[in-house]
Amino acid sequence: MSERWPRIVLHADMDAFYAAVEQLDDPSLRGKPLLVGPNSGRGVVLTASYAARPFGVGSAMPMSKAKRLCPQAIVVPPRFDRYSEISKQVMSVFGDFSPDVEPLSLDEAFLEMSGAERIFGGPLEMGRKLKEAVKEATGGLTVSVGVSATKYVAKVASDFRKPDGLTVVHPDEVKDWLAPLSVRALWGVGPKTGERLAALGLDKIGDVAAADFDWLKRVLGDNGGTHLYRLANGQDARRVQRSRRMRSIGSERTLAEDVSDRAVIQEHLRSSAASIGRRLRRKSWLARGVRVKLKTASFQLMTRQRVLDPPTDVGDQLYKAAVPLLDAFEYTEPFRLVGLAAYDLVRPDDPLQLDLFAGGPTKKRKAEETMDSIRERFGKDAVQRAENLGKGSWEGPNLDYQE
Amino acid sequence: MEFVIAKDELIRALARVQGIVEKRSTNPIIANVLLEVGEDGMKVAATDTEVSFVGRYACEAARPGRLTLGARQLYDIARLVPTDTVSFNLPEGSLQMEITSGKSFFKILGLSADEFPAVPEPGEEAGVLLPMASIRELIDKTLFSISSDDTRTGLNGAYVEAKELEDGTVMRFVATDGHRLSLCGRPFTGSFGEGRSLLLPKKGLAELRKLIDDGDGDWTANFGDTQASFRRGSICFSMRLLEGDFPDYEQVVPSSWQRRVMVQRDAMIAALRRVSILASEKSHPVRFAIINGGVTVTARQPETGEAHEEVEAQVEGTDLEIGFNARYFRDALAALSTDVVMLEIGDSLSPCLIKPGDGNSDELFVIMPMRLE
Repeated sequence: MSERWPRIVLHADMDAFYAAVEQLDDPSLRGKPLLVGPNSGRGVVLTASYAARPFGVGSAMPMSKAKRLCPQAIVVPPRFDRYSEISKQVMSVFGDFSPDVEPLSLDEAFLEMSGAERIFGGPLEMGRKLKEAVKEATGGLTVSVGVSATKYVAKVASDFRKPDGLTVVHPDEVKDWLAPLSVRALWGVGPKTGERLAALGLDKIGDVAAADFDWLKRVLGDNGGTHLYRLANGQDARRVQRSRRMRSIGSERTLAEDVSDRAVIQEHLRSSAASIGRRLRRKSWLARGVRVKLKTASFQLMTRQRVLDPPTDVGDQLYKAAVPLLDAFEYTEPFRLVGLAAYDLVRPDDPLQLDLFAGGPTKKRKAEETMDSIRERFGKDAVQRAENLGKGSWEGPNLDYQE
Repeated sequence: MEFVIAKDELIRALARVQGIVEKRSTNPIIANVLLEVGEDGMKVAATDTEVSFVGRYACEAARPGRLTLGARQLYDIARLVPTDTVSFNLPEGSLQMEITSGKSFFKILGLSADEFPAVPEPGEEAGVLLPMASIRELIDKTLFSISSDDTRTGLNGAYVEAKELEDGTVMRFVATDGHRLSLCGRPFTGSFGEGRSLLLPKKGLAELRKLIDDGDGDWTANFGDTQASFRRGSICFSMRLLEGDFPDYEQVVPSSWQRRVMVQRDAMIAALRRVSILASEKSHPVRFAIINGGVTVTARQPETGEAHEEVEAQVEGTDLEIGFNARYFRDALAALSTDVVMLEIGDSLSPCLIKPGDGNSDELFVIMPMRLE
């Protein structure tokens, strides 16, 4: 069964987390309608226990209104330190299940479970084991789990049978499973867009999936139309992102002969930049900084760096940013090592400041993507930039690294 | 050279030049200040070769002469000497200035004034007359948008041009760092030159800004081919024009909108300050949810938590969610002076226009949104 899963993504979402922690710590609160939030006229409900929800109380509702709807509810002020402490226990359990955990908040996270079947069993078994482990580690808290082949469907699935739910959606069944759900379950659709879709006759996700793609783009805009159509058809390529910062990808070489000629150093940089760009794209990172490293014949290490704006995964951009950095070095003796690193890595879907003045490295990126795919099929030397033709390969071993 | 100068006057002269002298240059003389004493008092000059300052100050001159001295050291001495007047004496043919104040005595080695780069002097020529309020606002509303990325030379300064508007001609400053743009026009008299434009460097404008509040009165500006100089009374501040192409800024100022928001400036600034405590420190991303009756600003970080606040607003047009760098937004709001400001927004990927609520003066800010998931 599970070999038909291209990826296994699990979404885990603690049930009424703040309220559940309060009930865990104070057994007299268990089973009772409970509102966590500041007990003042202007405060809002942060979490309502499941016993309070049938009264129509939900999070983000003004406390005064919640108390009107559910007068018997007990109001408890939040204790964030405690929630954070329990959250650490929960995240630590998640970490036992996967090296790639992407926390979304204190009480929910994505787990990349691809390839973990041999350890934990199939998707359903994974979900069961995770739920048990969370309950045991916390002394009784429940978590709702969704498992599917994409982040989006996993997240919708975890919400499907809350609380204490476990929903597995097989990749082959995604479209059918999504179809009867309201369009409001599409990521990015709020009340307003929901109304708009309804006015277009699109009430269920299945309606969007079955709609004409060109028509959707026309009525919702290119981006909006494409986004919703893809989701409705269960397509979502976003990866589970473990860490978001403090990484670099670099490439450096100790040269067979010390060099002082700038043109030669530049050649090395170009080749390193191309290799770093390739690795950035393969791992879907963008670099916000580039650093040049030179080591002199007498082993003095010097580095110069600069910020890349906008961030890039294009080798040519890395190279163009690196070359002016060479002006900032002193050339009093020859160099024995040339290195380049892309640092401050971010994900393509991290918040990105857009540029006022249009134009960018789109074309170069296309060219490099094409080269990537040729190299993947025919080998590393199958394609080269014209500038590098006829030039020998590296003198020393290539020290590509990631940290 | 021999003279006596009041301590306060000396401090005033030297305080002006601390931001101008350059200590990290390979040419040590530009870390120095030039003192030149003649019958009409003392001339003080400083330069980093890009921006320069010349001012005249009162002193009792006993014997004329000139020398350059370390600007920082001399300033520290001036501030700490125990008496109200300070005596300077440079023996003929020496480079060692002797400074006496009460029982304190200093002897410091200077560099020959002949090595000091030429700096433009205050002249009497006609130029553009800029009221003090005009020049102050032109700088205050644009300086923060100038790019500090020295690989984008065209953006490292404020673009200056004369613009004919319905109610007269203004001198217009425009600045952008590629993410946001500031534009401000203010009245002036005199001729700037038809169709002329130039770029004033960021450091020069920042230093000029400090001088403006240091005295009172309007400024006379002269714009040459390579230099711009600004004069008031006995001081003259000049800067080398930047070379580089400034982008076609008018093209990125939105001319239509789909949502228009009128909001109290102070309330919006306060909300942004509070909410952005929870925004990532790097680019301060916050989300604006614009609905009828208000704007809800939200910041969220998986590792730390979230904050949101609703700000009352008059909203025309449909609901929208849009992301911004809270810092950019606050800078623009802080640069405006009206109680109510107007935001005009297209969609979540288009530039947002921010204007004074009364729409009266020639000023606006454009901020490109952030793409948030």
